[in-house]
Amino acid sequence: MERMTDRGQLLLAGAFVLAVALVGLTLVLTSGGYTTTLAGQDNAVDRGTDAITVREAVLSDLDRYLRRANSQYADILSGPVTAPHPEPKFTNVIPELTDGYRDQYGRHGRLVEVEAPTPTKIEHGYRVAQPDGESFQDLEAEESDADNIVSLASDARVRNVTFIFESVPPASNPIQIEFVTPSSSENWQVAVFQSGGGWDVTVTSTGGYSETCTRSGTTDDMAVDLSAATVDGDPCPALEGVAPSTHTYDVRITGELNVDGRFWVTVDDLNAGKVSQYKTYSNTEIADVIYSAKVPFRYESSSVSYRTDLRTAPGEIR
Amino acid sequence: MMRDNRGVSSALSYALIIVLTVSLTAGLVLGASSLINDQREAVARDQIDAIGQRLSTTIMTADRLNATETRPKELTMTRDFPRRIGGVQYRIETAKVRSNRWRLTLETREVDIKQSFTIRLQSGVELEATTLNGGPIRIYYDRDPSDPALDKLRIEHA
Repeated sequence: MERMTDRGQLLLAGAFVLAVALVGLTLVLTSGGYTTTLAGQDNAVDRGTDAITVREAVLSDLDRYLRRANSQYADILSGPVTAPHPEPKFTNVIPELTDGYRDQYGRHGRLVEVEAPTPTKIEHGYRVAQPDGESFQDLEAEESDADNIVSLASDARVRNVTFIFESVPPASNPIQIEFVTPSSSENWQVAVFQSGGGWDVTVTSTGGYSETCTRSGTTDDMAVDLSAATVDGDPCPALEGVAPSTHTYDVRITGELNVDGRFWVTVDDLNAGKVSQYKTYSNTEIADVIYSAKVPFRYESSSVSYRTDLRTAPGEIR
Repeated sequence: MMRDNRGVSSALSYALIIVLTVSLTAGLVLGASSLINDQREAVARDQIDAIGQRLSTTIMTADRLNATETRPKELTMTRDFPRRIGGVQYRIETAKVRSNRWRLTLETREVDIKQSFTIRLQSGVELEATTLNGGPIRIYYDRDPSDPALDKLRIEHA
């Protein structure tokens, strides 16, 4: 009987030792598990990166709606401007956007809202276009000076800049689109010319930037979209570099102007009354458009509270 | 006739058991406490690393949210960090290193852990240099009413 008692005591002692060991092990594992939980529970909404993603998506939508509101002017290139101003068309769509965002983002405690911009938050501008394939020389001929420069915009910002060239001069004397800053701190030049079997677009700046894109073939028209950085719809990385260093700049065409082509550019009305942002020529047509809009935006989640004005000016050169 | 419990008394048996148990328990406690201390320090280090990464990411996210053409009217980000890590308090400190870089330092005194993280802000806004104890943190954009260049990102307890 005594041996049985001794065995029971040993078992008791062993159980005690095991219990202490288990308590220690539990403490260690719990701490480790907490760290894992801390690292794993961090999601995009908590981090706030979701707010950036949503903001960029909303801005992309606003860009698209602004383009659509202004798009009625795409059809008036050969006639007088009779379409109503696009401002109501743009502002009227905002409440529908807000309803859509509430449905789309109303999860994980998120709230996304946009408000229609007040008139003071809409910046007017002008769409200047040469709709027919006229020579750029004709524009220069209407200027009072003989400096071989066609001025498209002065002390302004521009967006949606597209040129369609029907012919291109040789490399020795290219046609050039220039973005000239008031202090000439960094001017940008887009030169278009013939190269071996194709047409080149070379972008240079006084700051040392120099890149070239080449389009093979010389028979069809060549569309150079400076805003989208494309040539005939294909990406042209060289054009992505165009970034004037100042808030406003002059836009002009120089070099060999005896080239037929079309163009359109949207010029802002930032300095209305102070200077003439754009020049009118007999071959060009002007239409009132929205240049940019600041749309109040609000994002709320469990960890982020964010309100700002989203500025939409699609295709702006800056 | 031989007995198998010859020379063994109950008292001696009890004493031996107690000594054995105490020895084993003391050995286990000493060994386990050393192991637990090591693990606690490792856990605290991991937690500081996780908190530092999350906080620096949050500050840089706030900077990215600020990087719009118009200044934010309101920007507040709240993160629910623990008040203690590995059972001890910790301290958060931000300091400017150079033009657009800041250093975020998290440290505990009791466990003697100190880790630094580099924060790079792209929007040009300043991050306020501050020191505060660990816990739920609020990062907010403080608009200066007179001069936008004086706007700051500030960190405080939530």
